[in-house]
Amino acid sequence: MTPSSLDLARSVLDGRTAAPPGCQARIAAFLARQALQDEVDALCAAHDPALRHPVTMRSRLTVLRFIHGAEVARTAEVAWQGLNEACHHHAYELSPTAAEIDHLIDVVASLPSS
Amino acid sequence: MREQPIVDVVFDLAAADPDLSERPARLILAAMESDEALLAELESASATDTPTGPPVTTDYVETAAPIGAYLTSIEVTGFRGVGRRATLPLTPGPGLIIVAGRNGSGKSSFAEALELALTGDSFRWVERAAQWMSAWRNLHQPDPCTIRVGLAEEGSGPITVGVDWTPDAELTDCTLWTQRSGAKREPGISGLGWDRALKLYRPILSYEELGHLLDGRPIDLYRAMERILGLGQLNDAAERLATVLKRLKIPEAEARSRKPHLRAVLESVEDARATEALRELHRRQPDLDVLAGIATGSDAPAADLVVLRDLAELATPTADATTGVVRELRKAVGELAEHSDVTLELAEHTSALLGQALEVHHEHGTVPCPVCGQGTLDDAWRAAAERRQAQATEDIRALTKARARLDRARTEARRLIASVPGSVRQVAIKLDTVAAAKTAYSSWTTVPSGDLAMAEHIETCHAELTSAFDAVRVEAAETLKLREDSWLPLAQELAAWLELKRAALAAATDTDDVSTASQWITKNSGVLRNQRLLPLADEARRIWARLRQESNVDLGRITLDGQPHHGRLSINATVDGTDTTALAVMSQGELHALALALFLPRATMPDSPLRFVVLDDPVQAMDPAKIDGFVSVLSDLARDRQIIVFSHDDRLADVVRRTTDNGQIIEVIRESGSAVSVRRDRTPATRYLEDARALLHDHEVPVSVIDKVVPGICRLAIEAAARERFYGRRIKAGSDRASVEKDWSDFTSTTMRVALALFGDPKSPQMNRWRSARDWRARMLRLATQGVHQGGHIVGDAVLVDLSNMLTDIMDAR
Repeated sequence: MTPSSLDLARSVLDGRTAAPPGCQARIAAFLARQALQDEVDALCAAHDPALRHPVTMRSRLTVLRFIHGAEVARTAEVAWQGLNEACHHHAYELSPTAAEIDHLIDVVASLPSS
Repeated sequence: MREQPIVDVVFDLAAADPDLSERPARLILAAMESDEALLAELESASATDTPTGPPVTTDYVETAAPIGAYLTSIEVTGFRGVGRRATLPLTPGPGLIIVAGRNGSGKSSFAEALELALTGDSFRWVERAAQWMSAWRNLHQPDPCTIRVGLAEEGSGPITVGVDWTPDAELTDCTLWTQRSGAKREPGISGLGWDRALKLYRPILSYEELGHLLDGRPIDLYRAMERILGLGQLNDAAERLATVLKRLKIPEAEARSRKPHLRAVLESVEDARATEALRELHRRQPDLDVLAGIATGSDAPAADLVVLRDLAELATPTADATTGVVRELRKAVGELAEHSDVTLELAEHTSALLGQALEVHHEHGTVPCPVCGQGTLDDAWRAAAERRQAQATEDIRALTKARARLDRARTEARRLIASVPGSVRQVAIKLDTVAAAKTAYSSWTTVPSGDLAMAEHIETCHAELTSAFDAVRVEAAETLKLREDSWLPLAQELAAWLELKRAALAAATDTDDVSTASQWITKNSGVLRNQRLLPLADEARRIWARLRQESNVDLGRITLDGQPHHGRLSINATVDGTDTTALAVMSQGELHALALALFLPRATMPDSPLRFVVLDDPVQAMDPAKIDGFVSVLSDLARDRQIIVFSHDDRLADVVRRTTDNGQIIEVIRESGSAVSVRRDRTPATRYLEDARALLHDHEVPVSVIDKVVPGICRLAIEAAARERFYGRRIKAGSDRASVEKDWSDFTSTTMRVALALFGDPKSPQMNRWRSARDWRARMLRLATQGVHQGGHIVGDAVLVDLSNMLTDIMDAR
């Protein structure tokens, strides 16, 4: 677990760390997404050999299921889906809200530490 | 959350109440059961019975979950957006099924068809009658127009519900029928016994209806909640008790209202009985037995009645008897008079003297008369003396006889006079004829001295006496009859009143007990209602907590307030910690989520025989975070329910695809001419196939990882396919889900599970032949068993082809 990324995401979200106005949620989402990737990497590292980039997140999440069980994989999947969407531009979807990202950060935080 | 039957809750509460005694408690429980039970309880046990302990409420003791039904398919022809026949296959048994399709793809036609077939109405139809009514037939193919809904009921097997329309029929002119496997078609759907459950649990809910759930009148929501919570039973009990109480109070009320009238009529008649009855009625606690005696005349009758009855039977000597007595008396007097020349003493002395003289003669022969000294007692004298003595004896006998006769005649005459009863002298009742009778009696009994005078008296007075007494007799009889005639209705009235009074008295204990029971329910229903609501409210809050995600509205207490006829469901909430009512502060999207939070626990109540829940487009206006929460809620519910969600929102299918194990996705596509086709897009088994494909196509993943992970994925995929087939087959055949689940979890080896799915027997001898019939089957089974532990040598796409074939073999086997 890299507390720094996730903590930073939180502090951006609640304004403790300065961010351009209107971009807090998006920036927090990027930070949280990074934290999630790191976390999944760490979890997969329990498996030998480690699955680092450029192995796709999908592959890593599939493997995660076999190492840590369905529940952990599901949690990571939910967080990944939410954060990934928040980190891409969608023509038909509005920007993520702070509360939404806050929730996703909680989901990431709920993953077991490797 | 299997909940305690309401009757048990009431029982516990009643048992814990020290102020509630045994009988009212039993009455409450009986009233909750049925009218008959309540009556039986009232009749069987009086308060004096020894307490029998808690009643055994066998009707409510259920250890197993109720028999349930799952959907197996919806087939639609010529209805709404569906032209030629289209079938939506649904895997029976617990699981999450997403029916995805663009707006206008025809997916909602399936939902509406289902709703129409099962509930006979559609919310859309009711609310938007005009639009809907004109467009319910498919435009491209309006005929034939049919709906077939396939269901599988635990314990009984397949059921088909059909709806048919003739070419020119209106929407409501349909023919609805049901058919159980191997049985005849039955008209209507009531035969399935789900009428109540369909209303109560509403397993089919559309987006519009969700919106209206909270928009409607508070009382409707309240009633719906009450029904679900089984509180109807409590209300029924209250009503039954009220009805019985009213009935029990009727005699007392009636007796009270009739009493003044009874008094008035009793006062209006002159009758000693009436007076006595009134005296009794004036008491605070009239002696009902005394009153009954008066009414029926079974007790000692009143004094004047005795007198009247006596007078009515007044007897006088008959003319013959009288004449006889008088004649005899006169004859006796006459006979005695014939012997008036005889003096009895002289005759006796003479006879005695002659006797002695004859003895002298007899002893001494002829001697001079010792008495006169002049005559001689010789033989001539002796002859004469013997004649004289005989004469004297004769005279004595005749005289004695005449005297005795007279004595007898006189006694008879006196007896005759005395035979007339003197009661007439003491009569105090006003009777016209009594005075004359008294005079006649007085004359009759004033007997002159002298036998002949007496005879004369009897002769003279008899006629007067007879006519006077006859008159009294007639008048007394008439008066008596008059009395009885006027008394009879009074007696009847008194008797009727007594009957009421007795009924009231008999019902007094019952009335008290029922009244106590009724008051207890009123007092405790508020507590009971909310105690009852608690699990459902908790469940709703739990669901809300997962749905709300970014909402700052926190759901608080959910309570049923007010009385049964004007209650409401109040939903409290806090917004950032401030108390408020939920409905006031929620956005439209939040209201929908709240409606879902309230609706889902209701639709999935353990008692519902409908093991399916159908949601039509529930996620409109729901943001992505809520969809996550929603899917996790649905996925949880789908562990023991068949959850079917119709959705046009890609995001829902996407979340299900990526985050659930038990979700499957069916895509509905509508092409020109209303040709609707259905494609199974994703099942739990194909999900694993896709996982494997993604992993194998990611060339960055090390081979060692592939070799370790892919066999496991194959096993999951094969078991998921086998499970789906096994559950589907068994549930369709009518097995109950508990036994299906047990059979499934009893065998953990992949090969056995496949055998179970294909042949219904984990050790089926057919398995070997099946395995070797296609080379990929053996390869796959080996990979899924040994490969998981030892690792396999995975050769890219070959494995995917094998797995795909294997899954098809399992799921599509005949």
